[in-house]
Amino acid sequence: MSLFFSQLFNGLATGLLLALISTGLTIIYGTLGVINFAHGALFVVGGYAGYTVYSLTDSFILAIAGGSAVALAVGLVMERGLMRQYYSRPPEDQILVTFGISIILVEIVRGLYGGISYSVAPPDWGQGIARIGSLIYPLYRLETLGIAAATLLLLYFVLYRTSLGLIVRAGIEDAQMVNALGINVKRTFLLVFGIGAMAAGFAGVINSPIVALTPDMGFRYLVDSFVVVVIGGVGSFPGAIIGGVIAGEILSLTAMVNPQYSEVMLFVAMALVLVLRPQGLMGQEGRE
Amino acid sequence: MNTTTHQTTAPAVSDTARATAARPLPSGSALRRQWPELLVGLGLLVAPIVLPLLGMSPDLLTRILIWGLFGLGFDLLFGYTGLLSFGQAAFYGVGGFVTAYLLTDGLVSNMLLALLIGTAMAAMTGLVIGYLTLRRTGIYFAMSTLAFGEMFYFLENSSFKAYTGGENGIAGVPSPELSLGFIDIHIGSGWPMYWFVAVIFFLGYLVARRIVRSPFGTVLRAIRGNAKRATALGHSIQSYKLTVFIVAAAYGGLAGGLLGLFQSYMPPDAFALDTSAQLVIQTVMGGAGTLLGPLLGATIWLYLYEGLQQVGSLGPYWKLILGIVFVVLVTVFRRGVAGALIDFTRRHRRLPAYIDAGASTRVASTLDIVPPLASSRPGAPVLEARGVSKHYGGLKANTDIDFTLREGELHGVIGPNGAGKSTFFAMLAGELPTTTGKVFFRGQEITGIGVTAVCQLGMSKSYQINQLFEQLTVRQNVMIPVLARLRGRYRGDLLHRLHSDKLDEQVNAAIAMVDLAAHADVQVAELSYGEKRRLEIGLALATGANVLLFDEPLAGLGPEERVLVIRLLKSIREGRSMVIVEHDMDAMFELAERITVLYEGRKLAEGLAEDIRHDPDVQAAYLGGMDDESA
Amino acid sequence: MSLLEVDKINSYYGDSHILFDVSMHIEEHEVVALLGRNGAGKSTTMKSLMGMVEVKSGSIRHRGVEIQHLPPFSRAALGIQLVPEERRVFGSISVQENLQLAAMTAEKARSLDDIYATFPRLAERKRNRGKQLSGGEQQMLAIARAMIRNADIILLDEPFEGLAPLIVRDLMNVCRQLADAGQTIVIVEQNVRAALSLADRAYIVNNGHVVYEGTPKDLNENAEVIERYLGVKA
Repeated sequence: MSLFFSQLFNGLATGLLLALISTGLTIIYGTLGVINFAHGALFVVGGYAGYTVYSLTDSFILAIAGGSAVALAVGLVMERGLMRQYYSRPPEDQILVTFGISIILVEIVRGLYGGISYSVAPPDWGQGIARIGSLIYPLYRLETLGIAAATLLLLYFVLYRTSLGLIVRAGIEDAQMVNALGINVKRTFLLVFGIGAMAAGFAGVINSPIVALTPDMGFRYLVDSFVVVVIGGVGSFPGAIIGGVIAGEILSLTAMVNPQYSEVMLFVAMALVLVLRPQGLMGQEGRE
Repeated sequence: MNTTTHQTTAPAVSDTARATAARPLPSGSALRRQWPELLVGLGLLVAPIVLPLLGMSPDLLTRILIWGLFGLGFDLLFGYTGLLSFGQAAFYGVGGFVTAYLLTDGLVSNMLLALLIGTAMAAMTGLVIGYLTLRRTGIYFAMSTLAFGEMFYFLENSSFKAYTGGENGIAGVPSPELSLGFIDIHIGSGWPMYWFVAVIFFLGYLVARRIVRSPFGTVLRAIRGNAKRATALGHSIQSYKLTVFIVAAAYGGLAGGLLGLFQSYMPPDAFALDTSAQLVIQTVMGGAGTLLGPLLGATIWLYLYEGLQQVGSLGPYWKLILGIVFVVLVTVFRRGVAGALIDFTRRHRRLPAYIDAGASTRVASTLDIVPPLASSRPGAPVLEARGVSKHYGGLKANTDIDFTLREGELHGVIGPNGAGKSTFFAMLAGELPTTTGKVFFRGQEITGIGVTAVCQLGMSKSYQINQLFEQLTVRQNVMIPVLARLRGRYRGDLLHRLHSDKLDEQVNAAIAMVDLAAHADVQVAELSYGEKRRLEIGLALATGANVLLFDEPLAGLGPEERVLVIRLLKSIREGRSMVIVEHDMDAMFELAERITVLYEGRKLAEGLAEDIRHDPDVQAAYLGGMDDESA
Repeated sequence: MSLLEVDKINSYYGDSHILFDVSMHIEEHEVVALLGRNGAGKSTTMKSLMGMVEVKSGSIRHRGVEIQHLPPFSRAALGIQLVPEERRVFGSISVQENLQLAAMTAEKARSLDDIYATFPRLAERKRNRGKQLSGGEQQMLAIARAMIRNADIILLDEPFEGLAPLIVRDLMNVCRQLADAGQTIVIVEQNVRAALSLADRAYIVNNGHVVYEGTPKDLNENAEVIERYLGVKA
């Protein structure tokens, strides 16, 4: 029984992390119509940058800030430098170029850090265990759950209570009309892309004490976040959260039964959604 | 659905035989048409002599050929049909592991049989995955193929570990042996293996070339160009997509099987995302839509990899360099290296598509018209809407409209803005289901049965905004609807020849009707707007429809071009009934015999053009203020 | 110098040539009507003024300065505001948010209270999302968005289409109030009588060409022109 609850908790932690990564992906697609295959690579870039800052400063907080900042910078450069030219090109071209960029990013990381895995020690305030009733749970994992939840809440606040968020929500629906009302959406899009990239990098840093850093780990999270977006529905922030939690729980609970099957079950769930409700749980019909 | 020509005299037997048989080739052009095959065959023969001078080993060449074979199928899927799949590794792995398992476990001793079974299993996997993923298009399709590919990777390492050896793969795959009755050929490593794979690659290439030059292959290109219009012209595109997906899976499975034989070992990473990704990158770099692009891309990739290993300092960075090259190619040379070369030669030699050489010499007969299922007389109702309404929740787009198009009539539909013309037109065309009421085509109910079915019955629509296949020539555009009429909504004729007398005659007739014979082999993207508009009408005509719907045929045309199109519309009336929606009143009154006026979703008036002109209610509707309170 | 001077513009949707050498001028404080049957090119003209349709040749001048190369948001900053034919209110955000969005970049935005005073119905529905509004309410919101920006010129594209007569009358009153207060308005309307009752001057567009310019008085005396280009020719 306690195994079940601890797995449930695990699922929630994994799920919220996935939700965080997927939110960036889905908002970028919703506003810009670009599906960013380099999203996983940004996760990796953030994680490694955070590691470097951590080893230099010994402060995990600074590591989080550093990793996020680097991911943000890379995202902005990507958008300004290359993605601009692809908005009018067919979606297949966008997939291809972001895929190519992901290879470049991963190889740069491999070149700088080598191919071996780096384990990151949890910060002082994250070491040890916590007791919840009869459950014993690693303290840091509990904290990541809190951090992820808090960040998602922050994103929610930005999206639903700020002017920027208002522009993004209206822009997802009708970018041309937003433009006609006097707002330079292109500049907003740059910011959106950057925030999406930053969210991925942020997730990369906070995840590093849980899963060791390797240059190729990004693709795993990319694929999982695709599944989340398909389940939750493209362009939907609540969809990313719900989809993320569902995905996290599927991974976690099926691991209880047979660890080898957990990823497979996730894909089965995606297949079901594709057959029964192709637009996703909260997606808008015909968003292609 | 086969049609007989709409002639008053019965066709002579010899005519029919001649029309449906493949046309004998003019001498000399057979060789000209097959020059890519000759070139590739020659290249495969010459490679072992030339390429080792560049430092390429037989193993490298064999590996390139295996990737090239894998890519033949993928190029059909992506380059020709436009379906970007990131999960082809699943089929590579299934084919490879089934073949390897059968041979190592001793279940099958005949190598060719094992390869065949592996390929068949891969094809079946393609059927299942294709069915699930093709439910969506574009980005969703790419994402779900990636996910399913990954799923197979996990399955390989978990449930099927006993068969696949999990992380270890399958070792000890016996080297291939061919027993030809009188002699047994043992294919060792090195050059013998190269020749073995080269033969299979060549055969695979011949098949792929036939597919590309078949009617099936032409429809694939239409799907890539404008899937919506391909559907509206009578093709059941989901069936075509699924078929080519299975074909690509089969090629992948065969390539995987060869990999195991080549290495005497089947590696688990055959299923990995890396494998799918490598295939995509190689195809794009080499040039999608050329069949040889993947081969070229594999050469670049593998040669670069080996070459850079020699330069010590750059060795570990080969993938980074590759990534940069890839991004540059995608951004600058959209069609890859092969594509850039082809564009270059085309520009400097003005070659028409060689496949169509000789097609224009066919004598144009009159364009076939699908004969009515029942006999009809002039004035009989042909297209009817009875009490048709369309309500979207509270919004009443159309309410209770009755409409009749008579045999041989040219009937206009007009109405001020917001009258609900587009919605009504879509229901009339069988595209949109009604909320209440029914639509009948020659007595058969067609309410909402969909554009493909309606087209096959003999009705077709021409669009307000041009819906053409921009990358194809005029001739190739017109072939699409004719192919649907001659072959029905789907035919798996992957290996048939495209051109036949019947096809060419019909295509030329349609092209002549819209006066585009001078531009027949010009790419549509290069036509003027007026010429495109005529082609738009030509596509609807070429379906053989006896009932045509025209949605604002004069949209966007200048004054001179309007005159031409009006003349065209008058000239095609023989044997056809037409409905036209237009805003150009002068044109409408010049063309239409009867006119129906819609206003605020209802039918306001209907009658002879002259009567409508003088109808005070219609005048008031147009000028506004039907309701006294608004002034 | 006219507020807006349009000189022989040729507008395209892709390679489809819609407007042929269209010229017109809008003076400050005027109400100008653009008339013509649907498909004539009236909406395309409005969208060309706003920068949402490509103008391949000719010029558009705002107070003497050429603007035909400017993107829509720059033209909005100059005080040109389009209320589009499809209304295009944001369905996923509330009435209040729609208005806040519109006011964001306006230099001298009107207050929300001001707007709610003119449109009490919008005040009642301020928390409702755009897609929950009726057609008339959406049209009110679309006009309110332009009003809150205190635009120099409001381009109204078929504001009365598909609305019940009572609502049309209410909206006409709002338009009249705006016009009386000095607002420059260009209005596209198929309801000829409504348009002419508001307008100081009118242009008629047919098949992408400007075929007539005159006052409502001129037009009312010219039944032949009305029938030929606006109605169904008798």
